[in-house]
Amino acid sequence: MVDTLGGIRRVLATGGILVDLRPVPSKCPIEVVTAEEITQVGEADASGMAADDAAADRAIGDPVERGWFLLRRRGQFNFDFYWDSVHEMATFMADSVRMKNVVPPVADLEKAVRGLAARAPGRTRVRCRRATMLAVYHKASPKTLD
Amino acid sequence: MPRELDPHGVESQALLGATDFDGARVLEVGSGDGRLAFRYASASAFVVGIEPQLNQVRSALQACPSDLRPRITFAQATALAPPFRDDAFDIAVLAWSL
Repeated sequence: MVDTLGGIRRVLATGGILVDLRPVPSKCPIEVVTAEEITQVGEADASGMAADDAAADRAIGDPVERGWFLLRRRGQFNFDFYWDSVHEMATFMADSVRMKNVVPPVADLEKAVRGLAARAPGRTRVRCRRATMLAVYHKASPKTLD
Repeated sequence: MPRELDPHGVESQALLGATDFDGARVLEVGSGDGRLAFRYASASAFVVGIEPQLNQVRSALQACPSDLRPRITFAQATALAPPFRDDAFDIAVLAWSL
């Protein structure tokens, strides 16, 4: 990872900006979105990549300690996935390396969605919100390193 | 695939609010299918997306809107030895790639 950031540092102009954008290991709420309300009906587990996330933190932490990059800001936002049905969501989750272990079972989620859809006119969608981190660094000048 | 990803553009707002892409030379590491690059490329001087998986590079090239094609390039490469000269970029975006 240090090698990766060393290569990026080389091609980045002095004072240039490095943006680190990646999902945060966490529980991701699964919600039903209708025209009238948003209701949480379950969650997916995206915490299984915690080791990878920790490795990524170390990967950026080392160049920062070396003074290659200086942290300017760090924050989080929700990245939303929308599907038209629980079945579509389950198909996606089955192939996802980051989001697993949906609870409750799909049949229960489908029942919950049907119930909420019956109460609201219009389109009903299933949404999963994943916390995402965005950190901004700038490349230190040689003078900064002195 | 989900029907919609980030339909309200929260990711774009966070990214564009984090730094000034106006006229910037941008390297995106892990550009995947190009989804993220398409959201900020119009503000940039140019974007080079590098991605180790060739099928993803092909998807990005196919999906690239025609108005962005003059300013976006996608290539199969990794960041270990980026094939660019020193100081070639103003912004590097690590797109879920650390």
